[in-house]
Amino acid sequence: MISLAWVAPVVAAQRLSELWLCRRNRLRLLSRGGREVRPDTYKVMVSLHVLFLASLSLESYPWRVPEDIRTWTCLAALAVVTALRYWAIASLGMYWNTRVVVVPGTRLVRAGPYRSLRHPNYLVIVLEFLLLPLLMRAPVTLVLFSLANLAVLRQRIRIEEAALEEIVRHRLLPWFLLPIGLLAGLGCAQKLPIEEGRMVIALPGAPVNVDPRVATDAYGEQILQMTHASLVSRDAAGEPLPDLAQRWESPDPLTYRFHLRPGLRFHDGRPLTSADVRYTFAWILDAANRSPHRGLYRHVAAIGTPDARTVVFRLSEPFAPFLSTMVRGIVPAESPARGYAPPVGAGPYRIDDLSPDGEAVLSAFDGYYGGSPPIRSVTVKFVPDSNVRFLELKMGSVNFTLNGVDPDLLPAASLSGRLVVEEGPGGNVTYLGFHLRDRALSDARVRRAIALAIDRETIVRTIWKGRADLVSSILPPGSWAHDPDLPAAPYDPARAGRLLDDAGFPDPDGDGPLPRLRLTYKTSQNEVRRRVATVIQEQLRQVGIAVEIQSLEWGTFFSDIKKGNFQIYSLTWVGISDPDIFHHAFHSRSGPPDGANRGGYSDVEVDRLTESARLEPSREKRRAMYRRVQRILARDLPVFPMWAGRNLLVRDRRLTGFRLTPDESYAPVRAMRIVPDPVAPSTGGPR
Amino acid sequence: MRRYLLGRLLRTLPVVFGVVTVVFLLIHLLPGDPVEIMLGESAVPAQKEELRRELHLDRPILSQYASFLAGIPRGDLGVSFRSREPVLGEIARRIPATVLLAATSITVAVFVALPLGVLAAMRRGKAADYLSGFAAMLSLSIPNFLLGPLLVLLFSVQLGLLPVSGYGAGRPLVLPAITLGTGMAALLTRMIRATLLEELRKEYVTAAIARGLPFRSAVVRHALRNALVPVVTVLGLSFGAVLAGSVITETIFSWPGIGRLLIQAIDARDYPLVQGCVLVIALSTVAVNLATDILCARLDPRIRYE
Repeated sequence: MISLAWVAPVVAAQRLSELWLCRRNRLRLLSRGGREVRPDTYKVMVSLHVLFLASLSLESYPWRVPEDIRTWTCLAALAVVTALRYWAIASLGMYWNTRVVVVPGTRLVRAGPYRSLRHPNYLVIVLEFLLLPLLMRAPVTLVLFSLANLAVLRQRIRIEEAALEEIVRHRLLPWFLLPIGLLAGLGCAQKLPIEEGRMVIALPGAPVNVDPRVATDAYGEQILQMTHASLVSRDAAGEPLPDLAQRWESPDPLTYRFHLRPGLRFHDGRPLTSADVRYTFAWILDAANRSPHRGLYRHVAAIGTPDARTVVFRLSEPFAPFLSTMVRGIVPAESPARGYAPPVGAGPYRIDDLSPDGEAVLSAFDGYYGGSPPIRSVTVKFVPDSNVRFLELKMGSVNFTLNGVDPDLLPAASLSGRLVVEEGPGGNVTYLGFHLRDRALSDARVRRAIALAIDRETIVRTIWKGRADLVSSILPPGSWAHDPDLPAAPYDPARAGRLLDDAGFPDPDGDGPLPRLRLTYKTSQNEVRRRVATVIQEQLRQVGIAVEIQSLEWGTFFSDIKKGNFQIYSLTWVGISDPDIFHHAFHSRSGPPDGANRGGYSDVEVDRLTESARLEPSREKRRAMYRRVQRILARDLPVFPMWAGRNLLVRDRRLTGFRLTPDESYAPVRAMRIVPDPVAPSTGGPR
Repeated sequence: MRRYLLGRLLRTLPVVFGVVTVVFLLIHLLPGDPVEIMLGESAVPAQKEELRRELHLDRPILSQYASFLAGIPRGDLGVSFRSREPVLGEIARRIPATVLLAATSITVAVFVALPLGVLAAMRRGKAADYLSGFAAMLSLSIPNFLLGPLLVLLFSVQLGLLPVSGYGAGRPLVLPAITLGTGMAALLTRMIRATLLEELRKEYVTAAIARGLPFRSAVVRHALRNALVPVVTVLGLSFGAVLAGSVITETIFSWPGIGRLLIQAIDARDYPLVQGCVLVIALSTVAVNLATDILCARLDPRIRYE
C-alpha cells in the first residue's frame, strides 16, 4: 500500500495557482477591450471543482491504495495529462482563462496542442475527472462528477463556441468519453469477493457429476471433499482418520464395524443414520445403477445395521485396503441420482447452486459435526484456460487455486503483493512406461540405460522450475508404505552406453548420426508433457537412442496405452491412496482391460507379495511386503518413476488456515478463515 | 414465397442429414472408448460389458445409427454418456449462452463495419480508406486465442474495468463479444467497401448526383441499400464461422456455451452429445441462411423467390 494523501493538496494548490493566473489574465484582457461572456458559468465551474476535490478526499480516505499496476498507470497518465495542461496554458499565454473573455479583433490561437485539438484544456479536465477517482479508488465520485463535469463542459463549450462565432462540430468529444466514464465507474464500483467475506476457488474444469455415488472426475471429487462427509477420511500418509464414524473395529479380516458420531445431520436437517450409510453403498453395488465405483466394493458381501449408529460390513474375502475405500460421501436414503441436482451431504459446506460449466456456489453448513466453517460462502469457478486463471487471481476475482497456475507464471504470482504462493510435496508421480514384450525393451538393461540417460534434475529445474521431487517408486514419498531407502537412479550417460553395448545395441558409427535403436514415445497433447518429451528425446539421442515423439489427443492416447499399442509412453498416476496399486499395475494377471499392467510385466515374487499383502491385516507386515515389491520394481524397472510434481497453492494472503496435503484434498478448506490484511510480505510468501 | 420456403426447407434436409451422417461415422472411427473413459481404472470387465450393453454400444454401428435417426423426429437425441442427462436438455441449457454471445458479437461487428466500410468507400484512396483497410487486415490476422487474452490483459488486469471471465448479459459479455466480433467486423468492412464501390460506379448513382442529390444521400439512401444484399448473404454464411470461433472464445472466457460442451463431449467420446451438438449447429446454420435469404428479398425488391 502506498499513501496518496499528497494528491488532494497538490491538486488544490494547482487549482489555486491557476485561479490567480486567470485573474491576472482577465484583468489584462479586459484592459485591452475584452468582454466577458456569461460570467455566471464561472461560479458553477469553480464550485464543481471544489466539490469534486472534497468528494474525492472524503471517499478515498485514508488515502492509501495498493501498489499495483493500476496505481502506476493512473499516476503516469496523470503526469502526462498535467503536462498537456501546462502546455495548453503556455500556448495560450495571456489568453488562457477559466472565464470566457472575448477580445474583438484577435485571432484564434492555433499553437501547441491547439493545432490538433480544439479544446485540449477540456480534454485534460475530463481525463483528470476520470483518472483521479480511478487512482484514489473513488467510484462514486468518478461516476457523479464525470457526468456533472460533462454537462458543465458541454454548456461551457457551447458558450465558448458561440462566443467565437464559429459553427463547428467538435462538440462530440465529451460524448465520446461518456461511455468510457460509465464503464470505468462500473469497474471501480466492483467489490472484490474477499472484501465481501467470500472465497472464490478456481478449478481448471467443470465437474461432470457431483454425486459421490457416481462421480469419477477429479473436479467432481474435489467439490465433494467440501460438501460430502465419509465414514472415514485419510491423513497425508494415507492412514484412515475418523470422519462420520467416530471409531471402528475389525474383529476378524472379514468384518468391519463402524460407530457413527451422535447427532449427525444432513444439509437438509434430516438425521444421518446407519440406514443412510447402507443405502449409499447398496446403491453403488446395485448393478442397475451402473455406478463406476461398483468394482471397488466387489468384496462387500453384506451390510448390516444393528442400530441407528452402527454399520457392519461383511466381506466375501479378506481385503486389507478396505478402509481406504470407505472414503466415499454418504447421501440420504432414497436420494435420486440426477446429474445437476446433487444429493445433499453432511459435509461442512452445502451446495446452493451448481451451473454446468459455470460455477458452484457453496455456503457454510451450521449443522456440521465439526462446527460450522469460518468462511461462510465459497464459490467454485470453473476456468479452463490457465492464463485466464492466472489473470483472475491477479485481479482478485479468484482468490484461491490449487495447482491451477502454470509453473512458468508463478514468479509473476509471487511478485504480486496480494498473492501468496505455498508449496508442498505432491502425490502424483510421473513415469515412463515400457512395453516389456518389445524386442529391445524386454531387456532390463535397455530400460536401465534409458533411466540412466535421462537427466531428471535438469528437466525438473528447467521445465518444472524446480517444483517437483525426484522419486524412485510410483508410490508417493508421503505414503505409509513408501520405502525411503530405495536406490535412486543417477544420471550417467556413459554407463547407459555400456549397458546398451552389453544388451546388443552397439553404436554403429560412434559419434555419427546412426542410432543404436529407434523407439516411439507416446504422450498426450499437454504442453508441459510435450516439452518434457522433447527434452527426453534429446537426452536419449545423446546415448544413441533415436526417439520419435507422438503427441496424441487424450482419448486416442489413452486408448492406445490401454491396448498396449506403444513402446514408451509417459503418464502420471493420480490419486494413489493405497499401496494396493502395485497389484493393480504390476501383477501378471492385471493386464488391460482389467488392470493397469499395460507393459505386460510378470514376476512371480511380485505376484505373490501383492496377493498376500491384500489379505494381510497387519499394517507392519503389509509395509514390509510392499517395500520388498518396491525393491524388485526398482531392479526390474517395468516403469521408470521420474518425479512427483509439488502441490502449488496460490492464495490471497488474507486467506489462512489451509493445510496442503499430497493428495490435493480440498477438505482443509473448512478450517480456513479470512483475516484482516496481515503485514504485507515484501515479495511473495512462504516458500 | 411460401412455396419457395417450403422447397428450401425440403432441400436443406439432405444437407443436415449428410452432416449428421458424416459426424456419426467420424466420431465412431476415432480411437478411444467411451466406456473406458467413463468407468475409469477400477472397473471390472463385467461392469464394462454391462455398461456397453446399456449404452447400446454392443450393437452394430448401422443399428446404432438407425436408432439415432429414429429418435430425431421425436426430439429424442439420446442420453449423454458423461452426465447421464438427456442430450436435448444438456444442449438447451447451453443454447442461451451461445445465442447471446453470437448475437452480440454479430451486432458489434455490424455496428463497427457499417460506418467504417461506408467511410472507406466514400473516401476511396484517402487516409480514412487506408486506415480502415489497415485496421481490417490487422484484426483479421490476430487469432481469437491471442486477441482474447490481450483484451483481458488490457481491460481487466491493467484497467480493472471488466471481469476476466464468467457468464452474464452485462459486463462479462463485453470482452467475449469483442473478441468474437472483431474478425467478422474486419471481413464485413472490406466487404461493404467493395460492394459499395461497385454500386457507386453504376449509372443510377451518377444520375442521382447529376440531378443534384448530395453525394452523401446518393450513397446512404440509394447505393448502400443495394450494396447490402451480398453483405447480408456473407453475414449469414459467416454465422457458421462465429459458432466455430465460439469454441475457442468460450474456453478462454469460461463461457458456458455449446462450443465448450462440444469439445468436452469429443474428449469424453460422448457420442450422443457430439451428435446432438452437431445436429443443433447444423440446423441453426441452415435456419440462419434461410432467414438471410428472406432478409435479402426484403432489402432488394428485385429478388423474388418463386
